[in-house]
Amino acid sequence: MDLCVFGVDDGYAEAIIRGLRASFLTEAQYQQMKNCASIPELKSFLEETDYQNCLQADNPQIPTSILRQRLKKKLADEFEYIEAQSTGTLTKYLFHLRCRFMIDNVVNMIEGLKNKIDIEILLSNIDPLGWFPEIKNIKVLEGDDYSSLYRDVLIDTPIGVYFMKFLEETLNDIQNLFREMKPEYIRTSLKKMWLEDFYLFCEQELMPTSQEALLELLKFEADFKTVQVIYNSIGNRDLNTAAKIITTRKQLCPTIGNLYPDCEKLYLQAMTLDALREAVKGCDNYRDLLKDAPDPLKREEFNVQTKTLDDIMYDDECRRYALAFDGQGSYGVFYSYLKLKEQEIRNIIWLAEMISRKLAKNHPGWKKIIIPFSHLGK
Amino acid sequence: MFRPTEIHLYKLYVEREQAFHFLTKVGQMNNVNLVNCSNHAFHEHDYYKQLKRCDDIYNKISEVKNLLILYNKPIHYCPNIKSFIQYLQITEDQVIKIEQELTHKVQFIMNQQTNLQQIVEQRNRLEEEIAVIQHCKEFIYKFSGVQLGYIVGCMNAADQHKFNRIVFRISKENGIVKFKDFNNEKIIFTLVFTKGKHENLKTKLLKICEAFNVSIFQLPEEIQIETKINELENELTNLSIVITSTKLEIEEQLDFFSDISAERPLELDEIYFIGYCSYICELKIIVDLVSATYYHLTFFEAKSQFLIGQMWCEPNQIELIKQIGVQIEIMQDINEKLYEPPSLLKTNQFTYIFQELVNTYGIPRYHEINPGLFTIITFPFLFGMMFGDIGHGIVLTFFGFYLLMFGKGVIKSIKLENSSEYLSYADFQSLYECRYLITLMGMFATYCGFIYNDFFSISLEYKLEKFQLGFDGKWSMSESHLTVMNSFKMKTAIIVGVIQMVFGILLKGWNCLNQRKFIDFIFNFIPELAFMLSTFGYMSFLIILKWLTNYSNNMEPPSIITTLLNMVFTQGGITGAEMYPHQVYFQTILIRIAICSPIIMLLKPEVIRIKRSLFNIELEHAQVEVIKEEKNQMFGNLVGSRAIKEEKHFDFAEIYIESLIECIEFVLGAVSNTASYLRLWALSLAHSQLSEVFFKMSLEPQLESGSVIGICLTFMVYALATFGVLMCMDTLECFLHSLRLHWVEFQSKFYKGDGHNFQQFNYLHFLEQKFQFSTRM
Repeated sequence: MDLCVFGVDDGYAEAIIRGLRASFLTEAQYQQMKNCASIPELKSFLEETDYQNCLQADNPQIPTSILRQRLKKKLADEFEYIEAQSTGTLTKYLFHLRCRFMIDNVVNMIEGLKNKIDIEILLSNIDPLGWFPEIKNIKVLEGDDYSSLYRDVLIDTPIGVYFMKFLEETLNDIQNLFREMKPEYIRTSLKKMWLEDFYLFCEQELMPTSQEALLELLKFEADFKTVQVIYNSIGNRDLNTAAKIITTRKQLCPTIGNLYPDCEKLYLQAMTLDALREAVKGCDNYRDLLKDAPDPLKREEFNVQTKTLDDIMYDDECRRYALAFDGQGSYGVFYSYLKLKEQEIRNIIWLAEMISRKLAKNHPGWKKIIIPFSHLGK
Repeated sequence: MFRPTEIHLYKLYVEREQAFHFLTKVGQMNNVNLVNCSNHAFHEHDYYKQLKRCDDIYNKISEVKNLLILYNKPIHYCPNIKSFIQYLQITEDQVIKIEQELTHKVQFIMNQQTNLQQIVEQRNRLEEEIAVIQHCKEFIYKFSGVQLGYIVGCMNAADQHKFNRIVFRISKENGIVKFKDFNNEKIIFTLVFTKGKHENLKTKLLKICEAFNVSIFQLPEEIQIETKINELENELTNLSIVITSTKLEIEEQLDFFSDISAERPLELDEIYFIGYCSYICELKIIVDLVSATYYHLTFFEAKSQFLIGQMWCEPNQIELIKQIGVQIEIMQDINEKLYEPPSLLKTNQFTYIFQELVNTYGIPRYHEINPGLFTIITFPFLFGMMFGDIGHGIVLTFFGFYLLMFGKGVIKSIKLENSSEYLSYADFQSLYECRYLITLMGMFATYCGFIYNDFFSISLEYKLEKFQLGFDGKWSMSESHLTVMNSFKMKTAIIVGVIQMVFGILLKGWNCLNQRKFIDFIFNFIPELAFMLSTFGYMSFLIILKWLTNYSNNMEPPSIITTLLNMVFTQGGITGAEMYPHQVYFQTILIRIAICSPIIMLLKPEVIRIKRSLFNIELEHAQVEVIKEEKNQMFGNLVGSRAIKEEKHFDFAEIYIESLIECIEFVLGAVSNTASYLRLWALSLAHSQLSEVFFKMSLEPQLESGSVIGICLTFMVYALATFGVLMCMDTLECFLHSLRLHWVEFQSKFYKGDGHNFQQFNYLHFLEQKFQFSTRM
């Protein structure tokens, strides 16, 4: 039924997304990028692609950080345009998508301020996708006065809800909380809450076709988060006692997904990679993923060539997101588009890094990019 | 026009320094197609940098254009590009000169513009400050002595509520903000808070203000307030003077770009004739052409100081190119056979539109007969059969005449209008291009109207001396008028259809002979022709025979349908009397031919197989592989593009299936296509019935009653209905259906239509294509 009426409100926005789908770089283009010898050459190559307009004003020897900023700005502009064309549920949905970037931005800001980095530099490094006007108010922060930061500023921001929930859950003195806690911890738990909230939103407000596509994707994302949390906490020195590990994990693992609640007990207690493999063996897919993952206990031995768990997961995610474009009349494409474009930007930045370091062309790092839609040809 | 013009592939060797000059000359010639034979990626080519430079110049031009629009300066677009570029000489030095000039001037204007903006901002700030002071002086000094602090200033109106809320939060309910509107964007605020409770409340609030990007003003002592205001106002007047003078300076500079460069005032005709335009438009056109030239230079392959390129053109043009006066080496390319040549179809203003009708379906192959030539007559004729009405036809013809006579003037006046939108031009232009088509369509409709004897649904009675044209007007009195007309229209539709299809098949035979495909000639063309003639051709013969026979002597006229059905089911037998002597004998032969011909078609793959085994084509096959290999080396990135002939891949199963499908399709197609021509009758019937209904329902009763007011009123209704439904909708409908008959029923008989177009490198062509559906300049 919802396929009949989807086009009434959201048809145009979907059409734009499907048009933008054509802007993804192809495998041949990646090949050409790899052949670029210098950053100016890479830039002039990118000017022949869809990224033409966003790079024109810069000088050829563009630093990687600015390049990233420009590429992200373009994505943010596109997204803003779609947001402006959307109505009703879709607007809410798109806003939810942006919350993830807002959380990143706020946590980055707080972290930066803690490390006494100048606020103007922080503001210029902000991810344009997660920009919102109130973020400038973080300036008010004085010294270590985090409690007032929360009370005065964060509560008014679009992601204030998550902060509120976060504080309620931890039930700690806010002052100490912000001062002592690692920003990564804050980020992970905020994102967990966001994910759960987003999942709930999709479940309650979206139409069945969108739900079908999205819930599946979100479940996988939640599972990946869980696996990541467990994986990263294995052998982590900050968490010295077993009890502490389990409570932290419990706080950070999303309560949605295919692994929850069936495997919860097992994975919470997994202290080695093998135990984790054992915990998730119920799902075929994850077992395969973890099979290739390097052992986190040997973290010191990792280098550029190592295919980390993140890389493996990105690879798998990319495939799933590309599949979302096969479905018609679903909000999944917006989500996928965002994710895949992020991946593309990551690829370009990675290649730019490789080029600027002048690594030999047979260096294994060159292969470490995941090309969206590349599996379709095979 | 019968076939695409003969062209050859030539190899060019041009000296690097002269290449640009050479291409500017070629750009002013017709019918030269440069082929991209560069091995480099586009952005690695030597001339890529030049293209980028052109882009930069473009950006500057559009900056100037935006400023011109901002300052309301008129832009005179070029009304006649053709004469403008006729005597244009483009050199590379000129480009550098334009670039320098523009950089210099644009830099100057932009500097002035930023200055101006700064001053304007300063002025706005002053204005705000004055307003704030005026607003506050009444009450703010009363706070002195009390434990209150205040911040006054100006902020964006949109942030009002957010600001209010955050101040409330930060000051913990100890601060209050009041707003007063200043203008649409800005708003004056007064923030009052209690001092003392929080030490750093003021710094915090100031930080918030900073975050909201507000301008905060310091108030002077109460006694000095009037002097302060006076001071500010003086400053304001000074700034206003500076602003006006800066504006004047900018406008002076902009006038240079906006004016037409001529010594004396010009007449409109003169402007059109020579193609005068604003300086900025001149620059734009020149840069357009330069970048087109550089773009085509990237087609060349660079070898030391030579550029090597390839082009398709007519042999007789080589002399012209050699006369350009540039040292070039031209020779016919030995690898010509590897390419599928593009199809160059030379048209004039009359044939252009008919060729377009064909091209929309598909471009003819290089060796193929071009159906465009026949479309010139058959298209309007089929249209006329459906639209047949003397009155409507004459109206359509007059519209065509109007376009022919006044169209050019209308286009000229649209072009001279200085609007930047080209849309009305594009609309009228496409109608204007159809002028000959519309005229011919109108004339044929009139002719068919005479045949049907139909004038706005009324039959005319007139006497011609020796012969009768069309139906007698007396038929309209008869009760069986409709039946007779239907029978006649249906039969003519079939006859015309069969003739057109047979003609299509004959063209196929001609194509086969011309391309020396004798197997196709014998096993496709001959059986197809035999089948068509022996079935539907025979039917047409029977129809005409029946028309010519006089059945008034109490003889029952034979039914053609029954005759044909009997012929098929009884192998040529008939019931009832013979229509002509030896009918059974003839029919027996014909039905055998009809059955045999598809079988002959099915033999084709077997013959191909025998031929291949006899002439040992396996060897040839290996050669093909070698050639392919060579091609890969020679053209690298080009292989796979349409321009290169694909070697046929031989797979017998495929050939068998292909010819089976071809055979079935032809036999079924012959039946369904013939039936499809009945649309000629159906649409003609619909047309005549509609016009009759409109006439009978509105005008006729009033004419009979004779009331003048009634006639006038109903005439309005009648005229509107006739115009809207018949002249607009039905014209389009009949157009559409005759288009279909040409594309599907006629062209499917012989036309492959998968050639590729001749991409000529011609400045005028390039500019016109560029401007057709976009904004001008």
